[in-house]
Amino acid sequence: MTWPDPARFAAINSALDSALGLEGAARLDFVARWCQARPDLAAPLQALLLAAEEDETRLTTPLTGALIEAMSIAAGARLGDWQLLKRLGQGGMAEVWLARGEGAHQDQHAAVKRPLLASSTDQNAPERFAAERRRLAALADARIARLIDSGVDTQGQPWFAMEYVDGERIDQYCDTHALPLVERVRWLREVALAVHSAHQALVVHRDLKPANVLITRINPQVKLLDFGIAKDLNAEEAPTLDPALTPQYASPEQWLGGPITIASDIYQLGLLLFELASGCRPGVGPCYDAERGPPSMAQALAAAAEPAIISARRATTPQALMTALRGDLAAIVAYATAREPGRRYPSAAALADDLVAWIEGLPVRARTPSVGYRLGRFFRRHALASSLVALLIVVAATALTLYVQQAHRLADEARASVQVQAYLINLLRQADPLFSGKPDLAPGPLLEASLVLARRELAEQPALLAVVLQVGADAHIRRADFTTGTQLLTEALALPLAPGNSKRVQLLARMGQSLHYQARYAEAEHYLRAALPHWQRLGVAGNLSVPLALVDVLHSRGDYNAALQILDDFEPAADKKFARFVWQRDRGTLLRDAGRHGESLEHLQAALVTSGSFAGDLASRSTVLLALARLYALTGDTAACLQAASAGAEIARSIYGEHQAVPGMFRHNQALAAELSGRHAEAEALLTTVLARDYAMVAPGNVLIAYAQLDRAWNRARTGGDVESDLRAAARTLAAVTPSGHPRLSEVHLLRALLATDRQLAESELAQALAVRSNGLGSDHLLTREAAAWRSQVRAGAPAGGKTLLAQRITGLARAR
Amino acid sequence: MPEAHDLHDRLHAAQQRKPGALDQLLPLVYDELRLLARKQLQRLGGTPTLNATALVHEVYERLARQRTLSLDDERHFYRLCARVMRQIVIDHVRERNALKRGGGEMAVAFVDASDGSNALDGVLRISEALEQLATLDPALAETAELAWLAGLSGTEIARLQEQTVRQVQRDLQRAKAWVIAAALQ
Repeated sequence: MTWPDPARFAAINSALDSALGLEGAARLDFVARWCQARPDLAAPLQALLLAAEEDETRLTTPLTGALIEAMSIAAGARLGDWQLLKRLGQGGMAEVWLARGEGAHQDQHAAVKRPLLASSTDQNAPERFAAERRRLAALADARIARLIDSGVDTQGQPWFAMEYVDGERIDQYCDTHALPLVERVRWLREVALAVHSAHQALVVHRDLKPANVLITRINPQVKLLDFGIAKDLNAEEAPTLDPALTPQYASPEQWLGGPITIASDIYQLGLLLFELASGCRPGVGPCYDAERGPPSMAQALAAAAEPAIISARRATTPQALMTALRGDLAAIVAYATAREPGRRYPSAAALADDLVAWIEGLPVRARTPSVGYRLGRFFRRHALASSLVALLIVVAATALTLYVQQAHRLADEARASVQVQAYLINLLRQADPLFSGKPDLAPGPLLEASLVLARRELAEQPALLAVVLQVGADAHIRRADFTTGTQLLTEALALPLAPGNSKRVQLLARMGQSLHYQARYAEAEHYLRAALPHWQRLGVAGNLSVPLALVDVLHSRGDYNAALQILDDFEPAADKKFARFVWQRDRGTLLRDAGRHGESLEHLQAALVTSGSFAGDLASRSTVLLALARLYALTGDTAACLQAASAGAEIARSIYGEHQAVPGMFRHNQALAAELSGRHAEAEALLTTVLARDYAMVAPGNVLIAYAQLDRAWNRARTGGDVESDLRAAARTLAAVTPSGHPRLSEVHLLRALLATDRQLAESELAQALAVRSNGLGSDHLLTREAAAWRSQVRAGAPAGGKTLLAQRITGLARAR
Repeated sequence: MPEAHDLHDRLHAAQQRKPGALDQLLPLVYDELRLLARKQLQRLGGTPTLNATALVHEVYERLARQRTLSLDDERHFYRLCARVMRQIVIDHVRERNALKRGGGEMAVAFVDASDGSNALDGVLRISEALEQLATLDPALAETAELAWLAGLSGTEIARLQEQTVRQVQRDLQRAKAWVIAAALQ
């Protein structure tokens, strides 16, 4: 309406006043009569009467908004270097101003965000903002609005200046440009990639909606706004509905107060796709069913008021749009918006891939059930054991805890571990149905699935992938699947990690330990030696795991002096009580086998005393008893040997149960005690059990087997049993462990010499025994001296074999072995 | 910075229709409002979320504390405030439009979630319609401005203008009809 001239205005104004003073039929009568009298003014009066019924806020809202803005600017509102120019908008938590920079930010414009006064009662708001500043500073993606500046105002309220984005909401942009479906999907793919990039920087957006996704006006590109309520993956979620979320776009877990992970963003990306594609808002409208989730896009379009307008904005017809919305795009939306987080796309990148597949007309992944879904089906089908899954979780959690401790000093790795943790937790949640399950089956498929996912999703983050591979390897190693475990570790070690990277050092150590379990001693030594210098440099105070693992390998290989040297290099301080205990015990054990029995006894007795201070740690005590029993056997202290072996075996049974490798080691000790006491039949029975049952659990080629065979051979030499087959097997094993000659290989030759019926053979065997001995232990070793003395006698003409000699010699030799 | 008694004297002068008195008052009220706006900002910790109505009342209270004002004074004062505020809005919008036309990075309107890109034009058309109404029916425009810009309630306006609340409401409806028909239809 244009303004009438004053005379007409006066006439209309007066008529309007009269009409507004009347109601109902009276007003209609009056207007009808007046219009008959002034037909030239009928139209404006009728327009005014219509306008009089309009809502007053159509006037007051823009006026007050402009007034507040003008007054604030006139009053010189500013924050830090930023002069506030225009209020851009206000959300539930914060308001945003367009601001012009001064000082360091001269000639820059920024969107300055600050919490609303109302939110100052929220005690978490400043922390929330501080967290956001840290996160935003870490995000460097052209598709995510950058953080420029931040500060705290005089009242301690935080604010921050974000990149000023000159753009248009993605939905409006698509509509004003009448973009066809393909173009819209292409844009959404960009959004998904930007979200993926944020996820890689450990940021979950949590509030993706059209208003937070802009397309820039010049050189159109996606810009993600408003990380105001984004939260770190590692933050503990209170089980209440977060007031900071936008209800219409909230994921089910946000409603339910569940943990918020990247899956929530994937849900919201699904809703965004829904809206861009169908022109309808999911979650509202007649089709919405809280139980069944959002309606399909086709349902929503069918229920829409103006499907013709929606399709025209997509440069298509309602029929064609309806067909397109029923196709694979519906499957993609359904997959992204699955009610259970574990059933959605595993990553935003995976969603982006599917969008590309859709654009190119290729089959989409959403059409095949997700890994999580398949897993869920598998688990339900097999009703897996809760105990095994629990074990897997314990393994994963332990590995992660250790890793977090290790990475503590390196911010990057700590952050990485958080992501891995979230990743694994997310993954393990896929196994949820299991917790109702019963009998035992291997959790293999879960592991396999997790590794497949990890390789795909973490391909560009070697440090993270390494962690997951290590967790996977650990789980396999715990299940004695060393082949797979070692394969995974090899794969992890092939990742591009810097030589001194602490993750790499851990992998080397783990590989060494794993190879040691597999009795691949030379390789184990290689990896542990590679890890050792870095371990020393990383200097994790009091953590001797790598040096001790290497000492263990060297002990097995019979390189006692090298092992002792390493222990000397890593002697823990007196206040590191447990480390000191382990060090004493292991040093005592090495000294024992190196023939330094006196020192060995001191160390082991000290370790036994120390172990008493670890209340409840019976396992530690039992390992000292194990070492002591053999020492007593070697020194001929039969009673002490018997006592230590029995006490240790008792503890081991209470901890490990009856049939395990560890109790087997105690049984082995008890056999020694029996042999020393002259109970050869009992010793034979015990050793046969140890070999046939207990040591069947360790890898073939393990030195434990060779040691038990040697000990059984010594015992059989007294009873006249089959010595040679044990000797042959033990010799084969020991030669493989230490090609240069394992010290205990000398026992094979000594026994053969003892049992030899001709002098030449005895001499030759004795020569070999002496060579191995002096090579491995030196000429001072008790057994070297014993063997040397005997060889002299044989050379001097003493009989080489026979019952009497055997009885004489064997006691000394058996003791000295 | 204007002193309150100064404002009061000028208010009286304006009431006695001394030539030019009202023109002198406008900047004074403007300054006073701005001063109080800054104080309010400081009190709120710099948060640029002002309450315009509260500001107007605050300015008035500062005056009233100095001297007892007659009803005429009071009415005159609020009328002034409303006019000042209308002027502030118009200046602000025109400045922003100038910025918009001024080229450079800021050439294009900033689009955001909360309001459409034409909100600015809407405000300008509304204030211009109010200006036009003031030339054709000054009393009606005054009532509208007291309500929409100075933020006075129907009851307060009725007291100041010595009218019934019902009459004020009917006038507001009429003013709304003119402004919406002129500005938004």
